[in-house]
Amino acid sequence: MSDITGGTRADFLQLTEITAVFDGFKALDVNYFGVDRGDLRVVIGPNGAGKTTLCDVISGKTKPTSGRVVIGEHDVTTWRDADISALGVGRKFQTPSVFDSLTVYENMELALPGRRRVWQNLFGSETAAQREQIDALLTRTHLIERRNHPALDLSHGQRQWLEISMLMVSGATLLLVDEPAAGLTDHETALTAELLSELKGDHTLIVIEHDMEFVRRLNSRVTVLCEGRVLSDGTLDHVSQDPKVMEAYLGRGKERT
Amino acid sequence: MSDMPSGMRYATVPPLLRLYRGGWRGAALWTDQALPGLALFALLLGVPMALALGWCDEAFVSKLGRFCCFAIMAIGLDLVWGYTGILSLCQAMFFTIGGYAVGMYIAMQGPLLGNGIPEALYVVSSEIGGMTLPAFWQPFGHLGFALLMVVLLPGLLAFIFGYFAFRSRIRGVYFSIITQALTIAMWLLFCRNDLQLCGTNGITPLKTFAGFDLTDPVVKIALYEVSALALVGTVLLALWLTGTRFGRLLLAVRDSEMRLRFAGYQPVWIKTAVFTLGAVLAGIAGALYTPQNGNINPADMIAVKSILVVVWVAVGGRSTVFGAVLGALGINLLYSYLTSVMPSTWPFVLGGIFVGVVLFMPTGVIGMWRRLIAKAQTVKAVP
Amino acid sequence: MNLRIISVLLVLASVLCGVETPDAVDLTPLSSDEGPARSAALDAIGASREPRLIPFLEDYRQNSAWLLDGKIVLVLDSLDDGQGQPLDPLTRAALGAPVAKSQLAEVPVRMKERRLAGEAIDRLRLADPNPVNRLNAVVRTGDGFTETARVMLVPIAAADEVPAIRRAAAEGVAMADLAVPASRAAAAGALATLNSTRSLTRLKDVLATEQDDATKVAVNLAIADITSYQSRIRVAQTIFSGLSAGSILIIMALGLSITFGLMGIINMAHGEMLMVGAYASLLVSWAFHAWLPASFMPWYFPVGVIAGFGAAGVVGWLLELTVIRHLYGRPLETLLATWGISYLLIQTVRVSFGDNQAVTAPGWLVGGWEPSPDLVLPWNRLFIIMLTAVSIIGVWLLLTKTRLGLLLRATTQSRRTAGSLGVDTRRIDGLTFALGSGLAGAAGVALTLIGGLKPDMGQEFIIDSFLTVAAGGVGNLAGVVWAGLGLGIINKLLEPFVQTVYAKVLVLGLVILFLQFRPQGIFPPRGRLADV
Repeated sequence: MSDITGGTRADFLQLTEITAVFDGFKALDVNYFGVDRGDLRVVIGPNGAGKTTLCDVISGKTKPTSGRVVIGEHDVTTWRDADISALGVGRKFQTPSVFDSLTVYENMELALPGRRRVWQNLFGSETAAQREQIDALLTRTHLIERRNHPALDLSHGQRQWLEISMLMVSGATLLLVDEPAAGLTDHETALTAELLSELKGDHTLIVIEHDMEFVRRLNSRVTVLCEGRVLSDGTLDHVSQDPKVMEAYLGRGKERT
Repeated sequence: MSDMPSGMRYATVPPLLRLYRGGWRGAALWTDQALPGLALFALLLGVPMALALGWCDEAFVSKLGRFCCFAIMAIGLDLVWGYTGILSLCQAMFFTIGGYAVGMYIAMQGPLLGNGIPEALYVVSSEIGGMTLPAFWQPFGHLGFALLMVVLLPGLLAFIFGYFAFRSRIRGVYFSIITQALTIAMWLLFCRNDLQLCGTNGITPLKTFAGFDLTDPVVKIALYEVSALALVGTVLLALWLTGTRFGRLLLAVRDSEMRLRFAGYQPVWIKTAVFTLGAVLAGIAGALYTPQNGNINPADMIAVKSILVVVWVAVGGRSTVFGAVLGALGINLLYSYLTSVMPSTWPFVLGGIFVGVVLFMPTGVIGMWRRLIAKAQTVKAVP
Repeated sequence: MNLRIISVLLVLASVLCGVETPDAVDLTPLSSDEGPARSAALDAIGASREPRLIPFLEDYRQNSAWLLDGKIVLVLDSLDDGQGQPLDPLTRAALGAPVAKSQLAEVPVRMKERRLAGEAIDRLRLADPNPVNRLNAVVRTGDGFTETARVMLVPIAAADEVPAIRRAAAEGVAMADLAVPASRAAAAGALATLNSTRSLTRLKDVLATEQDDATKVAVNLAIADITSYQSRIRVAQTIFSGLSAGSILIIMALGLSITFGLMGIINMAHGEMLMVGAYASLLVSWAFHAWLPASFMPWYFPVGVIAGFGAAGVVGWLLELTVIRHLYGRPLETLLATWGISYLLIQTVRVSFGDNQAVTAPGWLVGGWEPSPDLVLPWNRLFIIMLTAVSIIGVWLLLTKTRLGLLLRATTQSRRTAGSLGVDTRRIDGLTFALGSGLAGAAGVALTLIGGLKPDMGQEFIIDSFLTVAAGGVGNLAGVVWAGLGLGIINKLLEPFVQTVYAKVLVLGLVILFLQFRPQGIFPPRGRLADV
């Protein structure tokens, strides 16, 4: 089991002694991973390090082979993904998944909490307050002009924002954001960093990223995963000077330029 | 005012109410929804007028009535496949089950032999003396029970089968093949004489329904009107349904079931609900079909019949409701015409249409039409 | 009575001398007024070993034999119009012009003559040069349990050249011995050694009337032995039937697994590939018939297998080129488009060849191997099983040991990587599809051994092969083999208990249920294979 520094055991999200083994391959082997309420934690690491698997385990898409997942006061290790998301865990996937045939507004509307049963969806519509909430969010994420357009027509960056907006309107308090900066223009990247930083405090976020500039903008604590283990943890400067991290990223015997 | 969305790939059917909103989309809707509306109106009133004027005969009207039943079944499939993305290849099975429910009722009214046994059952059985009416036939003597069964039998079957299939996350082609296997198994069972469902002959002859003589031309026209009304009703139901939040959930299931699950919904119930609805619609269609067809037999649910429904919807245009009606009526009318003029070419025409539509016209006729409208509007809007 | 013994001895003598050319027999005494003369004549006929006298005797029993000008002739007409056409008793050739009824003298046929004629027929059949007829005669005679039968069968049991006939004769002898209380126990023992299932009913009848305890024990023992042999045979037969039923399915499913499992293509026209293969071999048989001398005919079949494989492979390759290629990544559309193609193919073949075509199986595959009495393994089904084994091994070798197989697996696992390494992925796609379709074609040729050709003969396999692939685990060849075997055997196991149709429905239901609870199949796809 790997070593980890810092973090109190009173964290909002706690992963304890988590292993995830697929067909003999150990994707995750984490002694402890904890995030405080209202915090933004960035998770970085080389490909195949287990970052997405970490999110899978938290959101319930994958059951860990051993260990415990605690969110707030609930031990959610054996919960179904639907129940975990009902708890307030929202996830933005690596490849943005929104509903292409529906308009931006309709996408948001579906993300509103409540009315999850089939019969509840036959009658009635959203309240005025909810409509305003959606419009406000859309304005905040620069999507308001595309309000009545099908989501199919959005650019890649706009789809990312839509997905994040949907998470926000759903009232999720723990957001798992997988590579929000992928495929964005510089301008869009800056806006996204702003957006995510704004969400801190009211929401707890875990952001997986590769783009170091983006990570720098987020100005938050960073955890480095490698081969399923936590390699290092701390500020971006701290981890980027950690020799173990350098070796993992750059290979042995190379000097940092 | 919003700028122009690309109508090319916009597959959601706007509810009829938006017809009045105006703007460029209003114009497009005028042609692509009002026109079908007029067509349905023609079905209801125009056809009987044509009959009265002598422009067509009652055989044609009866045929059209049966085609309306097909259209109802097609709308069911459009909801299940066009909107939700579930390729169900067993709609004809639900259709036939509904048809049998009504058929059994009619047989119980019709010519009876011996101890109240319908002639239909007798024809197949080799034992003459000492034969009694099977217990499960008896309740079908009551109209209310039979009508209830029309809805309940296909509905329950679909509900149970669908729920378990969707729960185990069987989807895509696996689901389609399993539905084909199901319909084949059902066909095999219905063909068996010892199950006392009249075997391969099916339920025939069918003489009277609730006191009405089925061979009477007036009754036939009345049945046609009922079918056409049912079709209009189904269209309205489908349009309403697809305009609700539930309708949007169907599209969401098709687009990204995973996202929907992570948004806290349970796609199992959504899929089961729409699959059951499709089955019930098919059952009702079968029930209206049987008195007009004069018989119902297991051949109405052979494997290919369910695939034909898919052809209708694919050609007409998926996820458009009107596409299902257009495809069902259009292809069946074409079939009726070609088989009387050039019978041997029909299989090739059908196969060719199908392959052609799938390869080159995936959005169907109505989809192409909407694309043309959108293009025209784009050209018009450029200053 | 003495005459009877003499004639039986004559029969013995003739049989002991082996099966030789039939003796010429004088039929005229049949018309004699004296009973003994007629009996002697019938006995002589029985001893003559002339098979053509069998139909003569049957007509004789029907009063169709007449005396005309001092010779026995056959007249098969009804003689209502007063006239009849005389025929030679042996060759049935017409003997001159029709004669008036008045010219024909009656040949007396009474109960005794009829009985003797029946016995003579049996004896003639026992001496028939054709082993199949002889075997039937031995079995029928043995079922008579009479002393005469016993006497007739003993020499056959000793000296007939065919082992199966010797065994049947020994059975008959032992069964006749059961009638004699003294030899009963020994006879029961002999029947048990022979594993004679035929004698079971007789043994049970005998047991009911037997008083002596020791004999009862012997008979019970024999019954027990034979019954257990019977159930062993039944198990073996069921397994074999299951193997045979599963084998065509396995070949089909192998092909489908390659196209679906490895390529992700749902090919609803796969059944039609089977049909194409079958019709290709039909064409080969016609070609052989038309252009090659008859002695080459047995060779049409191996050529047919290759032709079937090739033809289906070409059609599959063309299909991939024209239709499938444009639909990659859209499985539901592929399903629909290939269904349309399948429909077109069926109609084309129906228009060209009609609804039904017969194919005569090659002569060397007729009949069966009988490793143990009552266990018949037909040669054609053994061939199909062998073909299946060859296919499985062939596909496995191709995929794992050849370079082509390596390229194939690389392309399916990561198309872009393979492409960037210089693999012509389009060509590989075409070849893969051709391979899968070719396998179906081979299955089609094998199917012609069992039944006729119909344009929609492939339709009954498509759903089953798909379910086999799904149950076995997509893309997993071992799983497909196990699933196919399992389905075939389960089907045959159910058949004795429920009728064939219900068995099929049950199997379908079982597979559906199995997939409900284990959707990934017996051997699930490993790694992060996304759902289809």
